[in-house]
Amino acid sequence: MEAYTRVLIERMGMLLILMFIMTRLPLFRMLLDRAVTLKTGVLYAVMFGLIGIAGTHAGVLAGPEGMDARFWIRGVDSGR
Amino acid sequence: MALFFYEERIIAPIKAFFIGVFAPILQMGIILIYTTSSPESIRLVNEIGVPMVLASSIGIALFVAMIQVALREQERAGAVETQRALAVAGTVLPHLEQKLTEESAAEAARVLSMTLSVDAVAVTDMTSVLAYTGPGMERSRPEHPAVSALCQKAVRTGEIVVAELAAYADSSPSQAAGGQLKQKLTALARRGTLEGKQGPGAVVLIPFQQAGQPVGMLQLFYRSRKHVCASRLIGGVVQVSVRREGGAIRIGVQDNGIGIRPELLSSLGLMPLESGEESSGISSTAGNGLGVYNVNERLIRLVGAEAALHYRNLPEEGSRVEFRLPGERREHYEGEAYRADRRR
Repeated sequence: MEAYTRVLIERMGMLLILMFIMTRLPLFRMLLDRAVTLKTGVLYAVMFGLIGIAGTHAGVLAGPEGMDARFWIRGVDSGR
Repeated sequence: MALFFYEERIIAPIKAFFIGVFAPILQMGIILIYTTSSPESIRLVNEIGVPMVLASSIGIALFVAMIQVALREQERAGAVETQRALAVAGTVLPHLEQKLTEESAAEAARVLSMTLSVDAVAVTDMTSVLAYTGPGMERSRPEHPAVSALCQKAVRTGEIVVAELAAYADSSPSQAAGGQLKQKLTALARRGTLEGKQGPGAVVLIPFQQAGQPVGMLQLFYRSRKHVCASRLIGGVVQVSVRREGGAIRIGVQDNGIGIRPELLSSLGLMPLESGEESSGISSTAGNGLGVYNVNERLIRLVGAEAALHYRNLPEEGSRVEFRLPGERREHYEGEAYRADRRR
């Protein structure tokens, strides 16, 4: 359990650094400034969806034989 | 639940934290339901439950906080500009809201040219130019509203028009069409127009109305940022030199600009310049000579007549200001300073 916590918090920190850099990018800032419309909503959904997928892939694989802490998860063969 | 989410566009980080707590808990629940609580899945949930809840909740909270900071940063930048515009409007409005005379127009133009980074300000009524301050009057006359089609359009629609002087037809009317000058200035500030981001030669026309009737127009001219730049665009050098000469110290400031107008040389520092000279002179466009007058007076009173400022134009280019401080008799100098301060 401690091992999982440590690894997950590490990965989270890395993602957050990435996101911080993103908030410095003009493109991302432009997206934040818009008025709330349907188009903006869709854009937000896509953007935050991508971030969520990145978050999932930055996780670790847990299985009966223990933790697989490769950085980028490729695929899951059977179950979790 | 809807209330919980609806209140603001960016939710508070603490709320995001709780949302981040519930999502993995839900996931754990689904794992247990679909595997019908087999001993393996119970072990799995025991292993990963707490780490997932911790990581996701803290992560989401920090992420939301980060976006909030980014947004707030931008709002602050906008607020500073708006504040400035309101301050300007506050000082100018009293002059323009009373009956538009040459005096009130001149006062408004003076205030505007001092507070904004514009080079020239013109105030017109419907028939003529009431006031104009700034250098380069001879280079481009402010037009009164009846002359140019663009000015007529601005007055008729009550909209702000930003025009390049080179291509006067190239105009972009702004959305702010309210009757109040204050609103207009604020809108201008939002678009960064007041910041002097206009190219050289741009003109901003701000029509204003009284009781629904168009009465006049404010014209802001952007040419260059400072009169120093106007006199010399690149390669300006200011040299400060301090030299010991016997027992005295000679301090000089020298530039390579366009120099001081010869007729001002004799009076500069000895008396404040006449207000008539202040707008037409190129060497002293921004001020009225009061600053150097004060410095000169202080030097003479504190140190003595030999410390007075000396101005001269250099033979090749630029001008030089010098004064001498007697180096010896420091206690005498301090005594003089004390007496001078007592006198005031």
